[in-house]
Amino acid sequence: MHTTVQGTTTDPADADQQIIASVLAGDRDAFAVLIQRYSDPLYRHALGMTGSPDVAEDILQQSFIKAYSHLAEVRGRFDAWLFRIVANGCKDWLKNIRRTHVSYEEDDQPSNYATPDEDLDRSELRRDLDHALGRLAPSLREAFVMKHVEGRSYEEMADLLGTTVGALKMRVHRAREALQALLEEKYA
Amino acid sequence: MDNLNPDGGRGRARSPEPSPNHHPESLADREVALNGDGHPALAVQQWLDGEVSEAAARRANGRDVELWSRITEETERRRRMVTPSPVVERLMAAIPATRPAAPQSWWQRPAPFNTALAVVGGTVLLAAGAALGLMLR
Repeated sequence: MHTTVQGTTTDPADADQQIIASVLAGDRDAFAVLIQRYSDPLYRHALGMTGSPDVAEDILQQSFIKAYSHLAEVRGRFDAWLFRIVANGCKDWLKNIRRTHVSYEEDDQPSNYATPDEDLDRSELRRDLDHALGRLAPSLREAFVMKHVEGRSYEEMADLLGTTVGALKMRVHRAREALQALLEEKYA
Repeated sequence: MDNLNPDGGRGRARSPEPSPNHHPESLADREVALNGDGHPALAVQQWLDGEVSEAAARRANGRDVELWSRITEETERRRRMVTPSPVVERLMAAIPATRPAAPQSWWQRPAPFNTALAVVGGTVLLAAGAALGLMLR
């Protein structure tokens, strides 16, 4: 995706590099642009991986601090570099804690469902999906979240994770099979 | 207020997304195979990857397609979630006030020192000295 600024086309990677140069020159506030630009997809990733809004916020905070402190070391695409910091933060957290329950119930998104019954039905599915996701191996959960929650293509996932499209397809397929096995008794 | 549709509706097509190589004319051939010898579970996976139509997947395994339609509805809701505004403010507030450190070459970085490293280094030097002594005899 390209953005047009005053009639000129700017590649997002180039725009990031310009902001990084400003921050390195002492303009700390310019870093807010990078936070605004990337916090949503990264928050969704961290939330999908951990299931906890509080933990997702902590991981994002640590990741942005780390990114800021090591900003001079960025080589290549900033968004991919930042994604790897967040993804590693999520994996480290998963290594250190065994989750028995994850929930999206704390989110403050308004409900669009038509009737209280439908609302109840869907919140139950949310809870069960969270629980099932929490039982997947981190690599399978990561692949499923990137594909289905973040809506990324296999090519984009391969680029960010440094692996092959075939390997990621296999992970997503295995994640789906595992989720289906956990959910089909109740919902199919 | 949180933006529930941050990409202004221009985002990627909702799952199942069409594959770049998706051609309706070739799909027809595949639909026949899935209804016949194709594995029903594979048909659902292919539908979720945007490789076959929903109708073909339904013919192969309608029950699983129903389940995945519900799951997809929920994952799409999550895809529209954005970072709560107070979180964005807290993220910026947590950024250090000092300027990021300039990159240093490896020879400019302070050398790490600990007891284990000293023991290993001493052992290597002793071994090298002993080897040199043997060679000079």
